[in-house]
Amino acid sequence: MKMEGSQTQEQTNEWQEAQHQAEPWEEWESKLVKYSLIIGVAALVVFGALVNLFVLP
Amino acid sequence: MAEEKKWYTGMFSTEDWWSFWIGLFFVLVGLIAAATGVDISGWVIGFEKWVDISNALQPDHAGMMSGISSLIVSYIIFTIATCVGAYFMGMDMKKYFWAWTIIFWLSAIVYVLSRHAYIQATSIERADFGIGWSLSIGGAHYIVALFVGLLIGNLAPKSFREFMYHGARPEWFIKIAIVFLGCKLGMKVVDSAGHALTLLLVGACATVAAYLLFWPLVYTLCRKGFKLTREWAACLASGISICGVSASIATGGAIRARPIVPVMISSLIVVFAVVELVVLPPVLTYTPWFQEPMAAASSLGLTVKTDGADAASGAITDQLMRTRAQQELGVQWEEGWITSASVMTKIWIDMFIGVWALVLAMLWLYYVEKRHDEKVQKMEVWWRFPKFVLGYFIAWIAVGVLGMTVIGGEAMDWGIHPFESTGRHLFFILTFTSIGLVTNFRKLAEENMGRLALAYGLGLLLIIIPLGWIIAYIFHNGMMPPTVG
Amino acid sequence: MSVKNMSFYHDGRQWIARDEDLEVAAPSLTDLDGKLREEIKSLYSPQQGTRLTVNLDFDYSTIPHWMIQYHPYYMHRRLEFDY
Repeated sequence: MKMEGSQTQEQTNEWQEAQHQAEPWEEWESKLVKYSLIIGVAALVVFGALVNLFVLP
Repeated sequence: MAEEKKWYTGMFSTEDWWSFWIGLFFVLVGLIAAATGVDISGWVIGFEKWVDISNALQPDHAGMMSGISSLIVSYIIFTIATCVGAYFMGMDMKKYFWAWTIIFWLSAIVYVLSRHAYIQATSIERADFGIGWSLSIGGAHYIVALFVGLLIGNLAPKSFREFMYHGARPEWFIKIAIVFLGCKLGMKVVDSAGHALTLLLVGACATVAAYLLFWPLVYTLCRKGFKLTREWAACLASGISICGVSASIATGGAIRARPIVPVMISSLIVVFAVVELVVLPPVLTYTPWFQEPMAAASSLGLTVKTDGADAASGAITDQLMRTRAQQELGVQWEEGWITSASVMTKIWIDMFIGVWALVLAMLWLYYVEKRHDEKVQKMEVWWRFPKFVLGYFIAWIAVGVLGMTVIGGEAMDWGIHPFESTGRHLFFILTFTSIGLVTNFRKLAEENMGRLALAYGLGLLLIIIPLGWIIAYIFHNGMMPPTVG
Repeated sequence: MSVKNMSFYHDGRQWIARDEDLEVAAPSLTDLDGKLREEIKSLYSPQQGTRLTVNLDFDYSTIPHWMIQYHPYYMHRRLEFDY
């Protein structure tokens, strides 16, 4: 069955399910978020410094 | 019957590959022209600013043929090229041909009318045109094309709208244009300017930081703020923070989400991208961002969430900022650099989608779902890799290397300019018209889309745009477009 | 037979995997995999100690037409069943 066109009832069901059946936050999610942010901030600081010192006018 | 997926699967049947083939075919035509001196590329139609409409059309190599002949030849050649692609992609040829024809000629008419000197001439150009005033709206043709597309896409009868979808392929058209854009950076290498390589490097750095900051913050907002399931939160986080529809689909596939999830999210992404496309370019041009044009453009690559809308917003910003610079600063920035900056960050983001999808797939399969019968295939990184990016880099390297060696800069510019500049602009306006045609604001009125739109909008306003601006500034501050002359 | 290629899609309520020989449906992928494993076992009676690889290619034509241009495919799953 193709999902072309409006799927209003199906979308309503899906959206309600998305909100009412949310799984509890788990430890691995904390780790995923924490480590991504740590590496992201580190990349921003290190690359940012290198780029500003050696590359940008 | 399903077949085992190989590395070459889809090479002649997917739109991504066909932007590679068509883009590089015309780049090759330009290279042959440059190498031999035989003019097989100068026919590409250019749309000039005018007061006398007989001057509105001109082939890239002026004098090669009349303007109207150039327009007809361009239509014929690009129709053949895209129809070949459409055929191998299994499209309904009759519908594609007619929808494409309407889009081409509609875009051409809009382009001509919008280039009137009273609309687009800068204050410096008025004397040349013999006019006392002008609106100086650089890029007006793009905005008009977008709105004409939106009018048809939202108000025309449903059967006509759906018919036009067959030819409205904004992602395909913009990817062809981006392959042509690779030639521009190749020419910059020939000119020994370090701009191109600098842009490549800083774009990569910005992308790494953006991925690792955007995604976890938006994911947390969706899970803890809006109490969404992991399936929804992951797809929405990717859609808002990485690259819109493609990231949403890639993430949905990676975490084995039901397809309805990325479908609903993608409907929103397309609408928001158009709103950003209209709002952000004037915001960047008429605020202190004007002092940092390359950083401003790079921020578009980080904040506008489809390839088409990002390149389109870069093109509008390019026009608006160059017009303002010429009028207020008396400086003529070289065309295409601001566009290139917006595209470069998006290209890096596109390249990393496959890697991020692989990371999420492994996480979900091995730690979340714990499905031990299923194996994650590392080939997913290649399968999801945007093939048009290969075309972009091949064009860049080919033009750069050959222009510095056997062909020479001047000959290379002569041969490749019709596609690098004129052809690129043509495919840009086709993209704008098509974006308008496929953007359906009715989606926002559908039940429960309002709350999804709120989650999307808050993520964009509170996280993506502010952080995107900071990251773009850190990695691009002080960079200016090269000047002409 | 050591490799089986099938296509699959989601019809809005459940996942469906199919080829010329069989069709299996289930509300979750975990259930689908389990059912598929059993159906293959009953249909082909694989020998003890053998491994069968099942490549499940998502039928991308079921995704709305306007979305296909943004990304080349949805997902490709590789299952390995040990009997």
